[in-house]
Amino acid sequence: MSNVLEINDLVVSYRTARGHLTAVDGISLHLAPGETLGLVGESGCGKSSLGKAIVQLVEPSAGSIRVEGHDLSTRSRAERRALRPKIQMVFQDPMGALDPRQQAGTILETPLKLHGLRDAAARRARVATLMEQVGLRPEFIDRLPHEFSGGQRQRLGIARALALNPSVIVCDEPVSALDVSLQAQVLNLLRRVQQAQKVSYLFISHDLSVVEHIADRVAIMYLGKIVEVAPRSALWRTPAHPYTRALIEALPRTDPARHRIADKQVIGGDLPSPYNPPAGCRLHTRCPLAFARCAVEEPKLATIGDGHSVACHLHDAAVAKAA
Amino acid sequence: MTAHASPAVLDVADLTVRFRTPTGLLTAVDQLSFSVSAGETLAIVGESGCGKSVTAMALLRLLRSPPAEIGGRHVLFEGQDLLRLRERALRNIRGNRIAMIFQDPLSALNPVLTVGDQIIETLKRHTGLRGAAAHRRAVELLDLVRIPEPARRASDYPHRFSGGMRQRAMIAIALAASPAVLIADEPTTALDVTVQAQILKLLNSLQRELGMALILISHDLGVVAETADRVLVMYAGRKVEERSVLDLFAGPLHPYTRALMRARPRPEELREFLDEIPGIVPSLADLPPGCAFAPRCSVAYEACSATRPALLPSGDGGAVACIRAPLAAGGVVA
Repeated sequence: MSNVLEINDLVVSYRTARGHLTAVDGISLHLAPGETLGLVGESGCGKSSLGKAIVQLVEPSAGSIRVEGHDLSTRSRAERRALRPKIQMVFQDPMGALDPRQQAGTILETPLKLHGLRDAAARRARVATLMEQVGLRPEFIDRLPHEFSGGQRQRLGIARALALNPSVIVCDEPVSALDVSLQAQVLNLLRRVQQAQKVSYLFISHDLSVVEHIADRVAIMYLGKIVEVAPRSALWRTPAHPYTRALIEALPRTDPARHRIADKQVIGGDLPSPYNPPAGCRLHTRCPLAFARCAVEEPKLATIGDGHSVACHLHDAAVAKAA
Repeated sequence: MTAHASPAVLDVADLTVRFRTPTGLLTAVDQLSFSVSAGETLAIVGESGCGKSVTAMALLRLLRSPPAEIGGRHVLFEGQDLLRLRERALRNIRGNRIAMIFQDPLSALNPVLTVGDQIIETLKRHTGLRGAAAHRRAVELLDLVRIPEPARRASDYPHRFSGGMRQRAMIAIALAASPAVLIADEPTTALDVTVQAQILKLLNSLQRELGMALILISHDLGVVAETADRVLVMYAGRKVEERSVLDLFAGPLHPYTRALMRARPRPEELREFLDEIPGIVPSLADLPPGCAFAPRCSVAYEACSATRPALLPSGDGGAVACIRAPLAAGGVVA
């Protein structure tokens, strides 16, 4: 089946007081119906900018975004607006994403009104269905966002994203602000929703363990570039990029008999400024395996296995074999 | 690693913190007891609102009173009871013999003073060092926390530092007076995972080199598992379990500890659904009678809501507050 979302050579750049910033630098991705793609990276890697470009909150500088085959960049404003219901977003901070003066029912009803559901009774019925679907009790319909707990607010954010039956939901750090017990509730809810209606998720997170849990495939970003994409089990068991390996090694584990901080191989250095990323491979300033070529020539993302691509000069032999 | 290899440097008995609010008196920390030895890392772990940060603040009496009311049997440190010490005397301990670092180093650092001057300020306050000697020591401390080119970076302002470097600078300030105890309250929560690992590794090695006691406060079981020697689990202001790190993760005894572990996604062991803990943490204004976890607990029965469970020895040097603990440990519990 054809992809619900296709991104090609996407560039997102900003003009800021500190200068020109290319947050997303030539990224290509696709998302199949009902699939979850995890997007992992540390702060400043451009993962949120990518998400915002997909939901048309920022304008890309170059490249294309195709939603169910329709290229957003070649469409008129009105046509792009008509495509908006197809792609919805769930934010990290539901308090900041919900109008504090609107009741839950109004929050859920607004997108239905905006996108042409004229019959008030049908809207009310749809709101009731949505609330039930995300586990909010019907009597909560008159509550304001601050009257909900953090977990309930995120359920409300998910219900709003579902209102227009989207084919893709961009989830930007949806559980990062939640305690672990609530995190589990929200992750389970997202999975149940997907099983019920085959929506695709682009799941953006800094937390590789959460992404490994929820995603079918995982893409790793570093300073505006994708450095590795793989099915989740291949990424975990046979990570190819030194940065992916560093992320996996750094992940805190709950097995003190085998994993103690004193024994960890920790990648050194800080993230370089995204305003002035290193030439060549962007990781070469921190990479323990870097050699001369890494500082001058940028590695291209290339296939090394089934659905597994990596952008690293160390894998040239594997790339040649796969091709 | 159970019990205490060496005598406690800090011994806390029945620490209780209450807040006076318009709706009544809230008990944020309820008769909490623990101790920590030189060279040992004690982790205090729990979800938001469990009282772990309030505990840290209360040890150094950093809470404004009113509304806070700090009480308890004692907080013994180097022969003195911090609960009963005068404010003046406490000031010679705070930041000196017991130092603290926080989650957000940017708001803890002074933006208009260079990093070097902030270390020198601490050195002047707590040690006899002045002038060139203080400056030399400040550079040494920046070097100790692995800041590259420490002599040059000492004259930078905090905004020139990355998040990880700022936390290193905070650690340098905390270590300036060679404290016996370092309290680290979520020191890596605001940092990226690779930088988090660097900072935890640094804290771990400094603690060993300097023989400090470290109290690590965290919400992250993974951070705790990799860093702590002993772990204290808090729920709704109370200690529910305290064990050596190996014992705790090999066989958690309290249903809450067990539920926390099972709610966490583990890439080594993928499951379609995570085990949810139903409901939410109770409000301190409205704690259930008996065990505070009972309404969310999968093995609770009537007796759990009747009386508050006592903290009992777990037989391995630890303790657990649950009348159903053997059942939880037996693996019968879903």
